[in-house]
Amino acid sequence: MSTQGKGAVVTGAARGIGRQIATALMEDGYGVVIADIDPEVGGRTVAELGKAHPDRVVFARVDVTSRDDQKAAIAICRKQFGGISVMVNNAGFNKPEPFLEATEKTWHAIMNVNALGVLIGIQEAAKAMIADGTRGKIINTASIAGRTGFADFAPYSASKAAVISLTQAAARALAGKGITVNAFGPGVVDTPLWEKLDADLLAMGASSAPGEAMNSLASQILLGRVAKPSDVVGTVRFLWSQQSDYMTGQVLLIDGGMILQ
Amino acid sequence: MSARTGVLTGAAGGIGRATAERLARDGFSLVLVDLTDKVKEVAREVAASTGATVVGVSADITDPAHYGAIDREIAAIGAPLKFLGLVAGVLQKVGSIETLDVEEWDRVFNINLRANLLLMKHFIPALRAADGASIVTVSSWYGKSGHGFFGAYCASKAGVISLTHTAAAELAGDKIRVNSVAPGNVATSMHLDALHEEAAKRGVTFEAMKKTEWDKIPVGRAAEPSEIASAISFLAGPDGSYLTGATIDVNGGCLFS
Repeated sequence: MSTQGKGAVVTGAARGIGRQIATALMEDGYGVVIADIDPEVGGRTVAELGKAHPDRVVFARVDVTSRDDQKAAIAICRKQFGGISVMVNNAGFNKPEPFLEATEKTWHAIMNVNALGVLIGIQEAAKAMIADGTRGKIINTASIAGRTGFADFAPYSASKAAVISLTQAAARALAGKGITVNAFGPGVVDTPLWEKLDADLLAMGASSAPGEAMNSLASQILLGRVAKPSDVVGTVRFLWSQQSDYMTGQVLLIDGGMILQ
Repeated sequence: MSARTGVLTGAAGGIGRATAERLARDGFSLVLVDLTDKVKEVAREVAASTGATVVGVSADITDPAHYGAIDREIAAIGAPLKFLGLVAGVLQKVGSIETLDVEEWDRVFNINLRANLLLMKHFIPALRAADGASIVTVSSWYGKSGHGFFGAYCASKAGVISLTHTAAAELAGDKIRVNSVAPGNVATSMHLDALHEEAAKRGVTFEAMKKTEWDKIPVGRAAEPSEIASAISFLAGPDGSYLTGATIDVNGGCLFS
């Protein structure tokens, strides 16, 4: 398949869900920019994903709160792959704190990366798509926490609600340019983010054994298990495929049946 | 992929027919169900264009006495029942709550909601026996928000979404996923007829009514039936394997929920 004009940028793609998304985009013939703040893990990811198609994957060091960094990653995508047709604003992090102890520092750090980073990513990708006349697809990583607040991660929940609002605002702003903007909301996924969350909750005293917090959440899932990153990818692939061309401003929850919203 | 059968209601309508074509191409053998006898012709045409095994059954889905004919066709195909697509639905006679005949309310609820419960009840044992199956309901953006003059339709579709949640909760342990697709406006005769009727009700032209409705859609147009079918196909297929109790809004952005 030709990669001409089939470029994609995935932020937070060094590991976890972002890495799986990048892998699936490559399977579908895209050239992918692995945009991540961690050059070491990002470099390894590029080396591993590039085994089959070394010319179709490239790393860009991106702090998503920096407009210049995001612009540079998108410029690399256009130069290497002839354009940008898919932007996945996926980078995000969580730091649990009991609700009454959630700090301004945590709030600002999480909102900057998870919400402002998505706003900048949408803006810069859309500008490039409009300039190139590309009817592109912008996909944002929300969360079940954006639909229902969790006591021990209030800033994260708020930041993911912001991702949903940004998705809707951008959908309205960009529909006239032929660009669709949708989000997907994972539930509990076995990724480094959730491993760290489990450890943090244990350290906080919110759980009493490793894996307990994860398992307690998993017991609320109808399908009876937490998700693997690959469980999430099918839905994201649907969102970048032509199958979803009539969808914009929507949020798809992939939670194995957890909050039923 | 191994042999699998799907049952699809409302299969002679716009969305139903497009879904039949899509699922046949996905590798399903299909039993198409509709009240109209025309469904047999639709089945022949879909079979001819896709090469899949597709048969049509004319049946009133509000009456379980008619389900035996569907069972016989599933048995004749001989592959496990892996999919139940509950597409059939009707619009109501447009009118305010104050003027709505309760018989019209009952008619709409019988077809849009009660029949789906009866069909689920009937087919759950076969879906469970297939060891991995999915049910997809077709709700509506009108089930997520109420609209004047459509009290019965909106409430029935809200019921479909709720029934989807309940079924998802009950059937996850049986490896049956249950999800819904909520279309916005779709360019089917059902939608265009409704625009004509609402235009008359409001005393405006059809073109003005269409513009009023379509201007509310960020994408600027109604969906093609195939665009609804592709979401149903996604939910029925392996890429949707971790989704249950979900509603996918395929509405061109006319409602964010």
